[in-house]
Amino acid sequence: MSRVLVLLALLALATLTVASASLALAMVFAALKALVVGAFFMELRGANRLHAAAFAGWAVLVAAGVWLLGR
Amino acid sequence: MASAASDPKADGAPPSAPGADPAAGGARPLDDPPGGVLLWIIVTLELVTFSMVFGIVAWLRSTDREGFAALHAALDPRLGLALTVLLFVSGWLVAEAVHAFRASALERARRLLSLGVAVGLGFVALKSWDFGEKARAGHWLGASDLWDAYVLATGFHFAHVLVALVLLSWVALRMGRRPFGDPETAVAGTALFWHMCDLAWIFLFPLFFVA
Repeated sequence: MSRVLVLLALLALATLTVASASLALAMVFAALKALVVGAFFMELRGANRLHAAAFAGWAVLVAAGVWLLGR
Repeated sequence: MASAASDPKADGAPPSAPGADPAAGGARPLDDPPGGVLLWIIVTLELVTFSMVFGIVAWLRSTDREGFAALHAALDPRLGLALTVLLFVSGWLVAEAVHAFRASALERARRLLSLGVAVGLGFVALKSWDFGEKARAGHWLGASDLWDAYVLATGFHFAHVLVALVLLSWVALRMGRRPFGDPETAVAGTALFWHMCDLAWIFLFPLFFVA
């Protein structure tokens, strides 16, 4: 059941992304989606903490970089 | 990865060691990520490459605002959302297949993988239609820097989707029929590559479809 909620959360975030009024907000949603995919689909919840932290860092860095370059 | 490779079962099922499913809890060693080290090296390299693509597209957006407004007007956000939904649903089905595989429910795993591939083919069909429409409207390579970026960036992603679907189909066809030499890399690793396609699209989608 909880895994279905993960999918529903992703679909909700995708819908919010389309409705985003700015690239900044869209990138916040994109980072959240990437973290959800990483944690639940790529199984980083159960991975080494350093591995999970590196992935989370990448997602946040890319979102921030895209916003900075694209604003 | 190493333990899985050394103990494959005859029917291709995963090792039944406690904690074999990373989602069940318990941190894994750094050199044994879910899906195997090899696939994580590949995924990392791909994500670095895609990150550079995101940066180039974002820079083009900010330096050619009129061009981006024209591109954005020609793109339907509903198409972008539909493509995203197809990728997420397929990714979820594939993730469920990995859980089923780790629980040695091979038939369920194969069914879920096959469904995941079918939904992924829906993405391929819709994106192919999109490419055709854009080409007919003259929104293709050479039309402008931003249209070049759209075709090349989404085309690069499309190529990865095709490779991933071939790999997933191979795993689905083989599962439960012939043993995998390295079940972790074959099943979870292939799924990992598919989720990498999700990740790339997560950033491409707002770059092109959000104003």
